[in-house]
Amino acid sequence: MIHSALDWAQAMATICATGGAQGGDLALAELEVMALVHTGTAPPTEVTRWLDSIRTGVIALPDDPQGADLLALAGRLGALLNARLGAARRLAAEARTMLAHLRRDQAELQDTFLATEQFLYDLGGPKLSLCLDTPRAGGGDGADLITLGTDPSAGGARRRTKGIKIGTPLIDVCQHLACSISGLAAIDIFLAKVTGSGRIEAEIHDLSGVLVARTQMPLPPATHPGWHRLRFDTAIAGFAREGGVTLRLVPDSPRTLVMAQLALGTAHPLVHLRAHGPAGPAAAPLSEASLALRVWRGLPGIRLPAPVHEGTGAPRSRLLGPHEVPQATLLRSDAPIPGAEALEGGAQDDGIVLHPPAQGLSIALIENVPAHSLTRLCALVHNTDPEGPGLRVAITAVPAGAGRLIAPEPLLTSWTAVPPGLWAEVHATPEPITGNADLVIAVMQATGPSTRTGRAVFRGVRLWD
Amino acid sequence: MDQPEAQTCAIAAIDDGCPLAETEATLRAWAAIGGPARLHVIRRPNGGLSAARNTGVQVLLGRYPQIRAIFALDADNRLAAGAVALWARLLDDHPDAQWFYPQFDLFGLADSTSNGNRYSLLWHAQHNFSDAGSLMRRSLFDAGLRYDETLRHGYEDWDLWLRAARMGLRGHPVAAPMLHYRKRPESMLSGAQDRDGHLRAQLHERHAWLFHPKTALALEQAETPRFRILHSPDQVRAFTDPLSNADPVMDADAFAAEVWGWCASGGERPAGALWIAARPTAWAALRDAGALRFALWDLERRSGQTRLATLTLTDAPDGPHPHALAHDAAGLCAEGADLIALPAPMARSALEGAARPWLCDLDTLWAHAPTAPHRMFGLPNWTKPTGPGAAQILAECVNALWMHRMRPAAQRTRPWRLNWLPPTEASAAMARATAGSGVLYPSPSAPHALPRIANPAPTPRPQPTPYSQSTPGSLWAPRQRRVCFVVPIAEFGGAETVARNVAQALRKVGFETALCILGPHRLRRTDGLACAFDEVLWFPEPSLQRLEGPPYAGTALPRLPEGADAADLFGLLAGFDALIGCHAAGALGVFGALQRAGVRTALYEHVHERSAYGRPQGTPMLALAWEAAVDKILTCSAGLATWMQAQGVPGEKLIALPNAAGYPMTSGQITAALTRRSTRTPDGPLHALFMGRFDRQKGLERLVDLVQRTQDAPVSWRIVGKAVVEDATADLAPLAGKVTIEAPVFTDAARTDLYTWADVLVMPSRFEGLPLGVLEAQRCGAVPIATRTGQIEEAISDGIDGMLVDQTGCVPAMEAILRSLAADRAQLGRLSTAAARPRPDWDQIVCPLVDWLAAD
Repeated sequence: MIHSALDWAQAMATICATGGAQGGDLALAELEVMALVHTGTAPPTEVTRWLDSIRTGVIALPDDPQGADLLALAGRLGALLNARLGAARRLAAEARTMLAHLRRDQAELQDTFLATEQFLYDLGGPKLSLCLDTPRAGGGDGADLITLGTDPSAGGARRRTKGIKIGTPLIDVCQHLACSISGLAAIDIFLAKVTGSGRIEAEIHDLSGVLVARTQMPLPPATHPGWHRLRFDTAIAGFAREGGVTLRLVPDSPRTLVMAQLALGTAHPLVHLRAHGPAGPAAAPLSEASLALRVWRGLPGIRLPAPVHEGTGAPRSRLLGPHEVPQATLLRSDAPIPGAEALEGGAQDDGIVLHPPAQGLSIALIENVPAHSLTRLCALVHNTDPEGPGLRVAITAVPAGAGRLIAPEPLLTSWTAVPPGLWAEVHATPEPITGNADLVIAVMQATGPSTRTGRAVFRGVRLWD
Repeated sequence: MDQPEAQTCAIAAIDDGCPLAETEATLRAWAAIGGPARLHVIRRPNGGLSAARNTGVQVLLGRYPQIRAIFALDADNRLAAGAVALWARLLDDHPDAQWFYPQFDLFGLADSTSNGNRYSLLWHAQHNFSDAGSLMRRSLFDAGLRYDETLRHGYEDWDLWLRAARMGLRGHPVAAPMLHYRKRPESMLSGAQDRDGHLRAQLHERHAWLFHPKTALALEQAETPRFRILHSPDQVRAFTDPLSNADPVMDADAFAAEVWGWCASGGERPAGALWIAARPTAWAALRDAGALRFALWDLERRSGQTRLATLTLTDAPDGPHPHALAHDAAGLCAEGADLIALPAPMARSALEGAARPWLCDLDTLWAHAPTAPHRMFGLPNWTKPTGPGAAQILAECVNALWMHRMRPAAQRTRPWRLNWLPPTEASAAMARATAGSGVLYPSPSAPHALPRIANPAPTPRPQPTPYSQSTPGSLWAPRQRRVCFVVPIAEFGGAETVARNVAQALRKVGFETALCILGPHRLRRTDGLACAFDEVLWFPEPSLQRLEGPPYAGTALPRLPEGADAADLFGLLAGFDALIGCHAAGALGVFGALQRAGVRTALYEHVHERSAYGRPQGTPMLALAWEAAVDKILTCSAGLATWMQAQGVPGEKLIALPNAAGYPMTSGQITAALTRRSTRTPDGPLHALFMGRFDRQKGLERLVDLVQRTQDAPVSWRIVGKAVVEDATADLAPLAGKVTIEAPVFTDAARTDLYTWADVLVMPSRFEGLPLGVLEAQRCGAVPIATRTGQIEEAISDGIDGMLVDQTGCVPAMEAILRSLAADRAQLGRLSTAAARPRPDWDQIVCPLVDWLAAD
């Protein structure tokens, strides 16, 4: 039982001297600026020593202080109260600091939640959407490539890009992104050639220079030419903002020689959107062109599934262009827009164009597509009109001949949003099909007024069979 | 305080008299953990946003003399992560920028919109893209700038930026994250937007220097030049003033980079408001004729935002002039336009489409032509050149753009931020809005008329300013003053002749001069014209000059331009420093607005007309009606000035420019003319000359009577002229077979020949001002015999250097004089010698006008 402050202080001193306990630490915090005021007999030595150790004084209170003693006492008590007031304010401010952080976190969570909700509403399921697509330029003669490489003797790499002097080491390339980095989930780069082994590191910075995401991708000796995906652990959260990606080639070991050629897109009129060296847009660009990139947006803060690698043992896939599949036929179009054809294009065209109706769906059928054992398919779809409505598209497959016999709507379970002017991949995993298949493609309006200009152009279908 | 680099910052937290106790407690708490050395909490009586910010500025500048910049953070906004580190970089990397403003990253009502990514004062005049949450260099405050504490309802930050701009300081957009702005549905800003009209009116009043045609033009030229002239894919120029030679020529690559950069940036980068494809020869011909600026103004006026407009040159031996508009596209195709104007929004729309633009192909281009109002423009000695016409040039240029390697990337690139500001192709529209005018005549000049506008005294500008560094034609650079003479027709009768002579005299002392013709009328080619005017322009609406309004003091008022026409006429004339209306009644409606915009306005009065019953009427009455809209009234004689003063016009507003001879003669030419006269045999008939318009004013029936009365006298007559204002030629019918009526002459030499032939100049006019013909005749020694009218007595001293007769009984009196002089050649000689005495020339006469025009 504690009867007085002195008893309490004595108990605390004992606790601390014997190793302490968490409760004691918390209690000490309360004593931070207090003083032990006593009358008469001075406290025991161990108490005084303990109070000194926590920088809390001992004030002797005389029975009848007079004159200078009284003033000194008043001064000490005043200082004590003032210190206590300051401590109280500090505590309040720290509490407010925590509240401010909580508010900020809460706001960001709200943003993320809102984005997630919107994304889910848009997509009907968590998918990636392509928010920036810079295709590689043609040629393949080396003029449209940037070469990153390490050379232990030179301490870096050599550029072999057309128009750039050979001999300048280059291991970094920076590319400002013409999209917000918020929600950015993955970046595809086109590797034209890789020799040696190492890895590519990718960092996303905002324009203030704040590092917001980092990832890497191994470059084994047999890295095949083509598009490769740099996937971030989580899609970037926070406010929509400008930013860029820095790609760095890192050898497996300091003695390893590694070289990677990155494809460029076509010449870009905006200098800050061209490929730059490590100094970024402050310096002259490395090329007149941007890097060939595909930038994928996902759910802010959400971990994405690992990509499917088409390694040994994985199902083989093949990409069929519009001219490689049978002619599509219109299966259904609800409330078509007067004067607008619901389905255009086909074998002779670059894409199968399916127009969304004012309300409901347009569904087309591609019958009797050659296949062996179809387990999965996806299509690359372009909503061509940047001023037009947002679209939702879906795809599925049924056994050949079944397309006209069954109602396909229940099978169209995975709708993907395609914002105006952008591209999307739409995926489906139907019940495995043996033999040829009928492919079902569908489109509906997601946002915006109904216009004649809504066009979902199915550019190609990839089949895993 | 959380940000790592915040140790380099001090914070002033201003409690603007918040009545909530928690506010003060919170600030004290922050100070407790921030440390009083870094966080200064100041509580003050509520004074509004401006007062609070000013308090913070005062505290920080007072306590930290070494401070580099101040960031104004409103309590409900947030700094972005990394913002503090960013500030130091901005201050180091952009030494010319005085403040740095963020993108609009909004939370609450979340949005991401662009700040425009380039600083433009022209845009800033219309839209406040510079948030108050900006980083301000201390030089801004060292220059004396503070927020105006009387602006308590908003736009106080906009006002501060514009005052800074007045001092030559400029902002810089920041693309990196700096500020997160809390957007609520109800806020001070939304309240300000509700009061937008009132607050903007306040801004206009405070910044009259900015909302001014000359400033708008100068800014447009410096920041976003209006035109792109396409002579070929490899020869493109950017300018607002086609006569400025400072703009570099862009080759196909440079132009493509500009255009595709414009498209890729969603219109944030500039590529002009109006593209004009032009035959180089047509361009040069218009420039040489002084009509190039007019041609561009006219094309812009007709094209608007969505239409092609074309101009085709034709041969016009008598003088340049625009024809009325035509809409005949088929004829246009056959003719082949020499200039085609393409509004930039049309170009962008065509270029951004997936298909090859219709502009690339002549057939599809002409398919758009039927809606294009087409104008023919007459130029003397114009021969249609061979080679590609404007349509083909346009197609080639657009084709080159379409085929350019940057197109694919540009077409794929779209800014992800919404740009709420008008795109750069709105530059001409922005200049118009800032000037408060219609289509602005593309002649940027220095805004040196600004001191005339009631405005706070400008603070000395710090050096250097961005414009003085980067712009060839500096915004503030002094230029020659430009004076425009506005005339209803340009046939070079009396008033236009005076305008020409005054203009010529002004040019000699350094003024630039222009002639503006109200209506699509011909500019008659006359001697001395090229020396008088640097350029010529038209307001090609045919109906302006009709006097069909209600009468003012007995004279019908003119029909005044309305709506867009009035705005365009204002825009046509507002760039000049001074306007002199020479009987241009149709333009009077905009003189008041022009005067308020700082243009010096004057009217020139040449004659006091009389009605059929002798009632005074005409343009002097209109001058009285519009006296408040003009700074000066110029008169052809001292007498007319006295009359004006008698009508109540203050004497200080009057400048008398007593007429001199209407065309120049050298002393050698005068001597030669007088020598020819002196060698004439005295026994021949007396040579009597009538020269003038064949209308009632000139007293033609009196002339007929006089000729008939002197048929038996030794008098030889020549009558030279034609009908102009009204046709009274029929009055001369009785003279058929007796006197040959000669066509008027327009060259100076032919006039001199006539005056030298004449012994006497007969002028039986019903009314005149101070006729130029009298002075021209006297200079050659011809003796004027005239009726007393107007201020003719300022030129003729009766019986000394001419003879005057009363209006009543003038014919018998003139007959008697003719017979007397025919008989007494000695008296004729004395009169002739006195008439030929030297008189003041125009260079001397215009001195008081020059003094006024040159004064600050």
